[in-house]
Amino acid sequence: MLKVLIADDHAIVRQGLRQILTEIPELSVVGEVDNGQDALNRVRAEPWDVLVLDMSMPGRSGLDILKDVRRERPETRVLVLSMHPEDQFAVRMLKAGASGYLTKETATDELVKAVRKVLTGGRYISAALAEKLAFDVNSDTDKPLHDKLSDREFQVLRQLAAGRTVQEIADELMLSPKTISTYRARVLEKLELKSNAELIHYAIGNKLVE
Amino acid sequence: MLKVLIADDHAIVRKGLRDILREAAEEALVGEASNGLEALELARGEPWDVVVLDITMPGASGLAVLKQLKRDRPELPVLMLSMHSGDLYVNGSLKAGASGYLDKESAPEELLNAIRAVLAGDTYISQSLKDRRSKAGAADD
Repeated sequence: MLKVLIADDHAIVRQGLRQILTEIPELSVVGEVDNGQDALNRVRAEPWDVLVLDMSMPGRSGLDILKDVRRERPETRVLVLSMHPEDQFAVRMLKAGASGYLTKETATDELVKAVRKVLTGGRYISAALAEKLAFDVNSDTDKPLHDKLSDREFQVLRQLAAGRTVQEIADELMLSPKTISTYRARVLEKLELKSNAELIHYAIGNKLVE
Repeated sequence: MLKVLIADDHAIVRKGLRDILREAAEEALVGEASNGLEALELARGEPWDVVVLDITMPGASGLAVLKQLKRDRPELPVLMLSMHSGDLYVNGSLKAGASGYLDKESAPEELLNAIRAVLAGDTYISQSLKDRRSKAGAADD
């Protein structure tokens, strides 16, 4: 009996995923949640074979949820579903323990292939991303500056670029405003920027925010 | 028979929309476009009853497609579907001729209600957007 939990705040996307997953007869249970915290609670409450996790849900970031799931239920494979281009986020999510990364443009048969692959313990990336990663191996100089950011710095960058205040980010990440300001300073330094305006421009230009 | 054209670049969203429509009306004819230009092409080829249009697609944006659709067939109701809930998007869409605006958080039943409303000639704004607007209004007071 194989079980898949879908975590996505968009009801229409959940419906689409549920429908696509009916093409895998071995799946007997498909659960649904609409936020990261509920995903974590369901994963804590019972074992799931695969968690299909939307990266951008309200509340805690998909990256944080992924890390918690990996720590608490390492046997649950996590397939990240994102509206962001693969080249911006996939490597970070795979490094954090995701078994696969898919964008919402992915064709439905490709999604079925990905779920099947991770169910058997494999990892899934698209052919386009695999090719990109292969060519990136020897070209550190071509990598964007934001690849140098830690996961937390990257998260703070995205939140600032989305127009959130230091206090709002601090509240959400349960950190002090002073700590967030320190992260902000490190982000500016690593990206060679001077102000929030430049930071927003950078994030939009690199498709790091919706 | 209800004829609905769906335009969204996310295959999973199209699958969800198609499934919701089929569950509600087995006889529904559902067309799919994965970008704005394809939507315009398909819209010209068939007498659709309603178009469900994603606002952010690669190539021609949903808003540009909406304006062209309204030029081609002013009577065709267009329901915008979006992950953006900002007033700029909602008001911009309605001003450009959209009959309704639905966010992707909406429940499947709401999609059907919205389609029914715009087919009846009404304007439909999703409940979550209305709630958000009234909260923002209360905060401003």
